[in-house]
Amino acid sequence: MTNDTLITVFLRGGADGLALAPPVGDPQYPRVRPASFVRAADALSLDGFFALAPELAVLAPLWSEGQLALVHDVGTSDTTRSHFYAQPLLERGAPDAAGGWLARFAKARSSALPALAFGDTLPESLRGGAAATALRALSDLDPGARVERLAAELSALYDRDALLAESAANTRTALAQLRALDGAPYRPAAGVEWGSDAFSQQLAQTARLLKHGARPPVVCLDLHGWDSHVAQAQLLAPLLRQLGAGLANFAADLGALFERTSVVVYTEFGRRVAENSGLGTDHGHGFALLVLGGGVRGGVHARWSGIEPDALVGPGDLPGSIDYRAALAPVVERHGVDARAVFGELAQPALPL
Amino acid sequence: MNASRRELLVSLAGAWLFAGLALTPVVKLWPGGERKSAPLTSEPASADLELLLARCGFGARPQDRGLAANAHEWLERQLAHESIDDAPFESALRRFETWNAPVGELYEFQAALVRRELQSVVLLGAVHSERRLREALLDVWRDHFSLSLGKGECAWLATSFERDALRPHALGRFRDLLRAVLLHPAMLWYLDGRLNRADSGAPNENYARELLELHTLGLDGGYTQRDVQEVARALSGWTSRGLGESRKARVEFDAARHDAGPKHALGAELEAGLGEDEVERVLDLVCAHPSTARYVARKLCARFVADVPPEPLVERVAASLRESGGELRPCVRTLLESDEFRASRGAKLKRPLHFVASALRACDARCTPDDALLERLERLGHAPYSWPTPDGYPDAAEHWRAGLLQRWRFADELAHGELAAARVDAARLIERLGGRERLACALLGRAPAADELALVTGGDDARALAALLASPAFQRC
Repeated sequence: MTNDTLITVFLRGGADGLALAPPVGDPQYPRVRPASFVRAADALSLDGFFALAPELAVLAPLWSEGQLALVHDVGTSDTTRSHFYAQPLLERGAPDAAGGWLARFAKARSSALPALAFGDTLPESLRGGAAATALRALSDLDPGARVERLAAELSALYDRDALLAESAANTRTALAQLRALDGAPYRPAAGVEWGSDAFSQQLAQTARLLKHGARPPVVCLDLHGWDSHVAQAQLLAPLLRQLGAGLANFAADLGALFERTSVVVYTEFGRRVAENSGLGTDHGHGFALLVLGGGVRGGVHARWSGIEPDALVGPGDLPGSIDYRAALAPVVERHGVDARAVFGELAQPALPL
Repeated sequence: MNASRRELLVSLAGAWLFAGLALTPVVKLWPGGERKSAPLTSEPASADLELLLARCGFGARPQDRGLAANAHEWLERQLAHESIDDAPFESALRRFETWNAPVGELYEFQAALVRRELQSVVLLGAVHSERRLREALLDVWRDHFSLSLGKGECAWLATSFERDALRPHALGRFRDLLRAVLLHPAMLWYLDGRLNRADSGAPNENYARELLELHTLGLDGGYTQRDVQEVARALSGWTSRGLGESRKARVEFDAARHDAGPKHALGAELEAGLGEDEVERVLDLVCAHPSTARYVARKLCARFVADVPPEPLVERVAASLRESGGELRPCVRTLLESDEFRASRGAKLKRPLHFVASALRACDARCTPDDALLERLERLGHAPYSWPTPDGYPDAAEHWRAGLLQRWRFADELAHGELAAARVDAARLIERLGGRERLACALLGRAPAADELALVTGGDDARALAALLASPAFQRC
């Protein structure tokens, strides 16, 4: 059985991998991060060496059920350390690719529903491929009862049109799914209390959509604000809490459906290993990536050479030893899509996750 | 840009970059008062003229059918587009501040305003210019020489690209068009030509490759990697001044960055020391190459006849292009007077811009683009100057046919008078045309079939109009 919907959470701004998944077992760690390090006892221990930030402790049930994978020290070919360059590079999936990796993924899935992105505009990852829609809220998707009637009136004419018949039938299916959302009751699963922040609300709407039977190939979410040049610990704590609570609620709300859903959490680059004088960190390179959901082989997938100065690259950054596409490829494959159709030939073999 | 606006921007310097300055409200494009328009004709014209109007004119307005006696007359008039009176459209364009700014001054505006006005101009041209065929060709060149507002300074320069490179040459000589594109700062930005410098070691091949692969010979046009490298060397040194520099957007030839050595490209020798004349030799070489005529001809045939055009037609159109020394008019005439064209009615799926423009025209709507209307194009996946890669929006139905939901939605909104940018009153339109059956004739360009006629009986007028606009026949041309 293949997975249905791929959810991506883009931590915009360059999320610090050492904050997201601190190497609490590395003796150098408290030394490079005197202002912000967390003690092993306070964090969610994973394999004894890596942990998840204390604010992500709500993910413990997913971790123990083997539905969460941490991939550490992931990188792209970026050397600019520029948001402007690194984000589209990651989102295209290859330096010379036509459009975004999720657009190619969605095209291969050929779903009745378009790929969706919460926000005002389509992210780079969804440009140039199959149908994709940016939306601010779920209600933007509902074309209304009049359009549903129109589709029904036109169905016989479309059925006779060889070029458009299949597409029209798919569209009617999608329309029915979207219309079913209108006024349909939505009750979160027991124990799920969605936060009022935008990220939680978008995840709640995504859960609602999936629970009503709609199966968009992709849903893109952004969580902004990770550019922690100053006072990193204070800046990141609320974001990490939003991320943790959002993902935990999402999994709990979907219940069995989560088994057929994939969630990827990534960012454009990690941050400098050493703190700066403002108790923050500057743009770096290697980062941490999370994969959650059905079929994932939970655990830590790390390629770690330490945080001693001679293990770092450039101005003192994690080397990004794992090509991010090696981490995304197995996810793509779980949706029945050939990773080569999305990323071309992989520079590194797909990770066993 | 006048001095007061410049001062205003200076006084707001700093803040306006961060979207502190709201976009100006919708500009008033059209003179006030009740519009005088020619009587509407719902009686379909000849099949040949209907085909030209539908496919090469972004759709027919009801009054178009009375404007030409037959297909030949329409085509000849459209080919001689300079003599067409287009005053209302041109005066509407004067309302767009960025559209009227010299290229170097475009940087003084918010990129969001530049985008909005450029996309408005493209849409307005498709709906309201009387030079229908030129607009259709422009739509081909926008994809052939695709450019994305999303890449760096193209966010400002694309306006000048459309206005100064494409518009003057859309139905002129291919070499002039190609030269204007090649030496435009937007294309130097988009395909990194400005970074192609011999003094940096290896030249940047990006533009040279796309010049051969996408703009002239085509992927299978018979050039080698060596040709790409040699053409890149020949074009090295051309650059443009950017955002942080004086005399912004000025295109310059920097001899110090140019590779002055001899080259061997596309079977020809380029002797050493040609300097800035070398670009002319490259243009001559690629334009004279037989693959170029065939590649351009195939593109035109794919747009105007069939997704996979008949090869004999491609050969005839290519021959016409070669024989005329690259003049576009004779080859467009060959194409649009061919039997293959005449036999292709309904064979093409309208792309979304075409669908939107033809719907507005069919309703005789007066369009004043606003953000909501431009967002509809975005939703339909066809916002002008937004395709991310240099190959341009696809032409084939395969790419577009999945987007029916947004088409139906647009048809429904438009017919119900819910789009502020183009208010439609279905009842009034039907009254002017003389009834619902006449409405069906006008929209479909032919007498409706029985089940199409059934669509317009019963229900209210807006629903009947929506059903026709959303029908499969209206998605085709």
